[in-house]
Amino acid sequence: MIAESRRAPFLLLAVAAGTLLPMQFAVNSALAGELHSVTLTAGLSYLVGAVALGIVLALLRVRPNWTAAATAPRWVWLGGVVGSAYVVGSVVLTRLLGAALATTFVIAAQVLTALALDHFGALGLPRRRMNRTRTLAVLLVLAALALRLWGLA
Amino acid sequence: MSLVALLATIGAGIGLSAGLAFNLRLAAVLGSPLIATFVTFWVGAALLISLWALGLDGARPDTWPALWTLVGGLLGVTYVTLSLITGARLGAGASTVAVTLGQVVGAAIITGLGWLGQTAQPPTLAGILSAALLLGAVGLLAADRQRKQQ
Repeated sequence: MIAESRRAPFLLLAVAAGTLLPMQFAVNSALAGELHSVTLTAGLSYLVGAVALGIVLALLRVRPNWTAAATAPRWVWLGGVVGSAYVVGSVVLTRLLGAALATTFVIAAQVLTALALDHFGALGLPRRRMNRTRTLAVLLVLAALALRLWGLA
Repeated sequence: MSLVALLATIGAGIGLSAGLAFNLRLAAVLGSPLIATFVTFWVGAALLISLWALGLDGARPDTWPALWTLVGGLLGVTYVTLSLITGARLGAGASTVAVTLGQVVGAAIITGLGWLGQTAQPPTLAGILSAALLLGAVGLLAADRQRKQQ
């Protein structure tokens, strides 16, 4: 167990990392406003990230294990395809609703999808069925969405 | 809520959660989560720019966008790197809850103050309660995942 005092800076760092996501929603949404294309916007966002990450990897001298990778099932390479749905979806939502509401909807959809993937043990994840705790999580998500959509009527 | 917004929400949610599962598998195979993210970003860039080149949506832009609007990918890379570091130190559960807290607080600030091209919308009580409920849901899921691992 790590002492609390040593965990605190990392907790702060994790909170700071989280704030980058709505910033990315807003920045990508502004780019889409200039380019008039969500696919080009999301593509350029990925491209800039890919080039930057390439520089980081070169600096850290990280080497991939390509021989082991060749034996893996083909589908593991397609993360970028489903990831594209996330980037495009987040741009469309932010342009429609603004960053605050878009963030709420994406977190809600993410939690519900994670529960479903766990329940069926999909995509190589360990199978974790719905239980009382998880049902409560679903109810909290639905209540959060209802509050956002209809307010405190 | 329009059909477009609903589809975008479902796409984003599935894309994020499923994308994470893909990345975990790829990281295990390649021996590094950063290299897995590198592959994922290139695949996403190639797919989306191809779709755009095929004329799937939108007009051809006639001017260069402002430079600051291009840094979205840098924010993404920084996020992935930081979340890997904090996840390794705090465990996935605590790290996820802290990241989600940052997400909702950051979103409220950016939208509340109208930063980064957003239309300013002051936070509402319903919005704050809604964010708290979401944090609760993320916390419950994280706690349940950790309990099963032990």
